[in-house]
Amino acid sequence: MAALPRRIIKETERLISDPVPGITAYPDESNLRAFTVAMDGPDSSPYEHGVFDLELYLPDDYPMCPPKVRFLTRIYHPNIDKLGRICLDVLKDNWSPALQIRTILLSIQALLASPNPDDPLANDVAEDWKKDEAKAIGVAKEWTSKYAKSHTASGSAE
Amino acid sequence: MDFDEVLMMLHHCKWQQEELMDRFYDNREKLLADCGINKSNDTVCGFNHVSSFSCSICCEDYSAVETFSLSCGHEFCINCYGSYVRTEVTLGNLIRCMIPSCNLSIPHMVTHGEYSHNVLLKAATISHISGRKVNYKWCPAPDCDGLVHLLKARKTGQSRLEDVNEFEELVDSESADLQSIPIVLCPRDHEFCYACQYENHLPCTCLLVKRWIKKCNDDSETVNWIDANTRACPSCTASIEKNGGCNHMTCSTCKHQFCWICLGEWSLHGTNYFRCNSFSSDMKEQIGEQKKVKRESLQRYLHYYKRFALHESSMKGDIKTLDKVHQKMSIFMEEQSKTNPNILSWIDVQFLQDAFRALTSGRKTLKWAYCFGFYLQKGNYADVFEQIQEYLSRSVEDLSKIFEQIIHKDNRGKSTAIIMNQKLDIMNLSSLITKRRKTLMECASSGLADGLLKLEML
Repeated sequence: MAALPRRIIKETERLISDPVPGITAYPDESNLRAFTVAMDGPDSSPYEHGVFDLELYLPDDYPMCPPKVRFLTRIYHPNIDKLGRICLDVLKDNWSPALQIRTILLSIQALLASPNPDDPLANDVAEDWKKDEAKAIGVAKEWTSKYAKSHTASGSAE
Repeated sequence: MDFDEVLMMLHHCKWQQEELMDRFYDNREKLLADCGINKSNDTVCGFNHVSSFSCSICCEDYSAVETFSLSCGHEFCINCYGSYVRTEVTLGNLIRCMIPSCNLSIPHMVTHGEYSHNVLLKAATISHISGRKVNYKWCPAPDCDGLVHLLKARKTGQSRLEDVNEFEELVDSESADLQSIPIVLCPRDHEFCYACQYENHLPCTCLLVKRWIKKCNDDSETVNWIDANTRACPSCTASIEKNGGCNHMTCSTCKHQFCWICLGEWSLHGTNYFRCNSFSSDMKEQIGEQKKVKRESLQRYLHYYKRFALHESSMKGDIKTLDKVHQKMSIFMEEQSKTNPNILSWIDVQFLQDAFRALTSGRKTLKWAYCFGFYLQKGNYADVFEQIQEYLSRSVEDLSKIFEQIIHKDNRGKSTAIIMNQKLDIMNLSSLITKRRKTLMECASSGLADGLLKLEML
């Protein structure tokens, strides 16, 4: 494998030494371009108290093209489909090389706090969301407690 | 406003001149900001050679490096900017500064440094076109990058094409209205049908072309081989390939024994193996009516297909001949212009160009007329159509022959003389071809419209 670009080394170092609050990201030992991410659900959102696993991969062209990010934990969200794929502008057309892994992860966390059912990826979820938001939030909470690891539980384990 | 800025504004407004004008006079400052044009800042955008620079994209620390920045002052090393531009240029959008909150755009001219020509403009054009597929079509001719922009669908006679979207439907429509078939001409003189993007297939409709091509693709190779390598069993018409030397054949399907040479019944040959004089015309009648029909439909297809294919290959041959004639003529004209420039001008040989065009389009029409003929129901009017086709065929062959003579090796050195001598013939024939083509089209078009000609969708 080609040598890891300095940019990736620097970003990785900073992610570990100065982590984003509520998000941890570690590179895999076998492939330093692949990261395992654990993200806390934002406070006062239906995903509160849940910890969501994601995988993040930096393609060869990074930072000229965006990282590939996917949710591993099931999540009830209009912009995230059942395969965990995320519909987010900065992961696609609005990517810029000046963005970083940390900024991308923060954007995803912000997406959890403010779902956008008008630009859906999971159509059925988006419809439910638009029809009866309170009920949809209820389902999202239920899924969070069912599938996501408990924030407090993981905290006590450490 | 300089040229680059206007280009950027047009690019931002998706090349809609009117929209640009409106926005420009409505709120000029906002438009400039949206386009990413900075008029106020004095910092010049451009390339710099700097010592000790740390690029925030690749995170490398350089002791000496070339950098680029727009007037926003966001400076990155040339490697990063270069690969950023190379990635972005394929999208066809204006390329903005890499900092997401900074909206400034890179002027078209600057991207020239990266490329020898305006790749950004080309990419922008392509993305513009692919967003408007209905209004634009690439010329389907090989190696032609001509583009046709449909401004307005023509409304003639009974055709009701009011919306260009209807062309998509036309391809599959059963309608036999030849007037509505949108034949267009690309900037390089290639004629094609805007609806199905095939060459000028008149007098056939798009649907006919589609079926014919499919039929030919499905059948032609097999049929050609069968035709060349097999014979039909005189009893059951099964196709038989001779697999040995002996001419005493036994059909594997119906066990009929016959002679390969004369296709007559073997028992009539008696013991005289190679004497096939026993063939008589009443042998043919032994073939049952029903079996005949089966073979006939194949024969009928073959008849039309062979002629269709013949004209297609003749067309290629013609193009080669015409190229040679054109070359000879060019050499001749060059010599002429050196020795006595006042005698001949290009206008005097313009008739050749017209003749070239008449010949190729005549062939094309003939070719498709055979496809048309295949689907045409028999009738008096169909005979009229075929008669007109025959006339056209004759004049096309005559003209083709003249050109053939011109480049014939026996006539080396005399070719220009022949051209000038035959000038009148060439001109007459090309106008005759044009007229007969028109008559053929009119015959097909009005015949279909009045119900005199009927198409059978086999």
